[in-house]
Amino acid sequence: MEKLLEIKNMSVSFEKDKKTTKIVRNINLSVNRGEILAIVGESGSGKSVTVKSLMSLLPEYAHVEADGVYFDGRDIMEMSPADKRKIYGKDISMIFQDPMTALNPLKKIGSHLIEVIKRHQKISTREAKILAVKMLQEVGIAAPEERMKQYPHEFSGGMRQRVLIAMALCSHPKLLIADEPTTALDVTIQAQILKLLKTLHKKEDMDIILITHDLGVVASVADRIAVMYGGRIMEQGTKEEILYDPKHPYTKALLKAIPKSDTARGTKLEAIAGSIPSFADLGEGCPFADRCEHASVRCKNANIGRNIFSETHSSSCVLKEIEKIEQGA
Amino acid sequence: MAKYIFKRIINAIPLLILITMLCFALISLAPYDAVDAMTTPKMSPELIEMIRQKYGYDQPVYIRYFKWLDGLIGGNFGYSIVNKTSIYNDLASRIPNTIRLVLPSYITAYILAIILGLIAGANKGKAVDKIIDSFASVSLAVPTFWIAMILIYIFGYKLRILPILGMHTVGNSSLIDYFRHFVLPYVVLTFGFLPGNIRYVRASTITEYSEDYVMVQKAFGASKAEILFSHVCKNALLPIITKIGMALPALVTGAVITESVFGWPGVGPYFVRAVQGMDYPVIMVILVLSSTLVIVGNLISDILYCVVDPRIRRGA
Amino acid sequence: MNYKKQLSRKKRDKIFELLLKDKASLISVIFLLALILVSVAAPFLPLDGSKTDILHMLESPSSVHWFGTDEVGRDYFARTINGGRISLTVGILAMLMSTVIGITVGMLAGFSGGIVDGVLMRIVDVIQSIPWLVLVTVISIFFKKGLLSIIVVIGFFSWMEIARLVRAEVLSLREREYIQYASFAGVKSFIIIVKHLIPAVMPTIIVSASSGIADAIMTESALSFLGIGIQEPLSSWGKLLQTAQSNLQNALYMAMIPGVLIILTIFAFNKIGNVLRVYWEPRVSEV
Repeated sequence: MEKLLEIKNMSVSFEKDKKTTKIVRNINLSVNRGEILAIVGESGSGKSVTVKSLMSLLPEYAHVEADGVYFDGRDIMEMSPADKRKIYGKDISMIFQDPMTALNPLKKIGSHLIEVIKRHQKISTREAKILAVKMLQEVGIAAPEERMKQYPHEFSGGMRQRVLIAMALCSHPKLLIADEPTTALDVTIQAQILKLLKTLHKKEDMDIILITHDLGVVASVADRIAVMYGGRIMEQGTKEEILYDPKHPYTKALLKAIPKSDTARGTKLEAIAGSIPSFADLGEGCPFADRCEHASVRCKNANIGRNIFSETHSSSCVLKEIEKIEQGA
Repeated sequence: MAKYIFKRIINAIPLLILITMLCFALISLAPYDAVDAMTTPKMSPELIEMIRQKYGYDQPVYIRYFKWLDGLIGGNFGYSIVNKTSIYNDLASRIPNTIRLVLPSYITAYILAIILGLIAGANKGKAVDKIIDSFASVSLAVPTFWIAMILIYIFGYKLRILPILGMHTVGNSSLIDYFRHFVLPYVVLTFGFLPGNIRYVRASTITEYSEDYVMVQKAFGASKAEILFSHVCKNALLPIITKIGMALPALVTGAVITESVFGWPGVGPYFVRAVQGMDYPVIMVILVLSSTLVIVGNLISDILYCVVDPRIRRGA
Repeated sequence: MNYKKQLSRKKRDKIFELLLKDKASLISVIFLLALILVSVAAPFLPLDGSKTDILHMLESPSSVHWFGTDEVGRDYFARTINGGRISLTVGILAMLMSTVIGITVGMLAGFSGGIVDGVLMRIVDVIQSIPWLVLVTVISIFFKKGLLSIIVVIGFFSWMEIARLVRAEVLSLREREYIQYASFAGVKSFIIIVKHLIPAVMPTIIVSASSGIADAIMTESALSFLGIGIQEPLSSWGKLLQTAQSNLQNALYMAMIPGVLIILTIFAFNKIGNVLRVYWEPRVSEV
């Protein structure tokens, strides 16, 4: 399968007050053409840092290392800042968690759009305006001509997220990164925005990386899932593989913790014991070891191998055959 | 918006009335009154009583207050006790001198502060920011009159290239002579207005840079220059508009110390002399005038803010 | 209790770390400690700043007179030290006074709300509408010239900002659950104020107190310089500068020494205020 984005062995560390903290460790991840990849994890799992490093949005004290981050055949890591700016907002676009603060409060919606369009496309302001109206229409904003003249505070949260999506779509990007795009929105609006993303994915032929902590969101839109914890990818596979045949103890625990429609009345949901470790406390071993019911001495070891279950499905855990152990127990 | 402005003006009126009452009360409570200042112990009690009646001091306080207020509104500011001159005429000749000094200094300080503050804020933590910020924090600790003394020493006494007192050399009313007198107080005053404003602009810029929309703009491929000029600049400078209105009272009492050091014939030395000589009517007028300007200045700031900020203009 | 102790020790360590990490704040701390020490010890030191000596007027700094002599031959070093004592005393006492008034008014306004709040805040509005230097100058007329009155004048008219800050904080604290619970459970208002509100607004107060000292010292020096502050035979740094102005041509050191000391002192108090602010509001440091 052809890969649009391929991250090879990427690590991110923060250096503050002369202390270095590893945030993201040795990540290998790719996005295939025509798919929606979901990165799932609790807050503090490093999922946001991972995508922000692609977009050069990390603060100055962050250091990114990788064997290569290939987007559309070019290594982003090797590009100059100016070259990167040429693809940000054009070939790769990103939308964010909080649409309420993502727009400049003193700028009209129209000038937000026109600014982005003119930055990446050599067209006149008049043409840019026409395009902007068209984009607003496409993301489902009624009366776009009038809306162009309004300020962000005159829009609701859901409407602002639509504006941001319109901004992201202006130059027909190949990849859209959506960082928790629905977390700050009401439940009914969440569904609308997800539906819109899915429609645009098909219509615009645009791949999407969807970052979320909500497995419900994942189940409704993703093609493939990567589960992150403590700055590592614990398991990745197709949606079906992860949701119906999870291999990693963390993934299993995560799935057990969400209520399902067929959960019998009176059954207790299982919370994961312990709490998320802070990055500063993590060593080279498995970050989940302290909370894992199958943990052994081997889990603290530096090298945790990758178990391949299928062409698409892999996990990093010392236990290859957990199921067998579980059945035996 | 009109409704907001109207409400704001209505709110300012009782404040103004309270101010005049407070000023009047202060003067009525003062250990001496104008009559004491005009009379001497040698005068007969009858004479003193006559003077008292002549200036209306035999009437109850509230009547005196209304008469005084009436006079103020009609431009009748009364007379100085010490030199018996009309306060209105004194101020009419002095306020323009103060404005001629304060306005250019304020504008210069404003422009410099905006430039330096934006540079520092946009380069937070880098060398250029550290230099500008240190300059601001050190100058904030420097008394303006001290800087004035040092400049007088260097340019007036050592180099002997600039005059150190007044606005004109006697008998010389050329523009060049004026500028030679103007330069030192202008520099001192600019220096005095500068550090507070630099810090204000810098803090405002840094706050703007930490807003989410700046990160979003980066994600959409905006360059540093685009972010600074097309986004941060306008937003960071918006609160600084507030300060424009607040500069209004400075046009009268913004240079009391500097004017005194350089003997600049503005409101400053006039006020200081009035305070030293307990010249109540003069003090009163300046008190009311400057407070009124503060209130009006705040009003102007609010209205400007409301015109510039769409969130208020369109009622968020 | 043990945990609390540990926590407070940890906090204390953190504040020392912040103060000592940065060179400028380290120097500020050392300078202020030295200044306070000298000011406290001054009466016990062999310093005589009142003995005139007409044979040695306006002498430049030498081994006999470290800071030289003034226009009537008095030892300028002794005068500077004594001036510093006065400046520092005015600064600290005026700050204490304004802080106490500010907390009282702010608490009262924020906690009682309603009419009391409205009236108090209107008063603050009115007083703040008068340009500060003008106000303080006018008020100083009412008092006999002297050390106490200058302290009272400065202290009594610089509490408005603290009152505003405290009020704003109390208003938001009042909405917090633990305060609401306390008043629901019938805890007396006075106890709530003393046990909950005052400790909660303490950081704000300490930060503004630090820069409050700096402001008071600056104001005192300006008033004394204009001749409406400290009067002879007392002297403060501002007063010394006033005298220095008339001898500027012959004795620059008379202006340089107190001036530099004022700058250092005000800078140091401001600096420490900033460090404390960063300590209590870490978000500021991020910014």
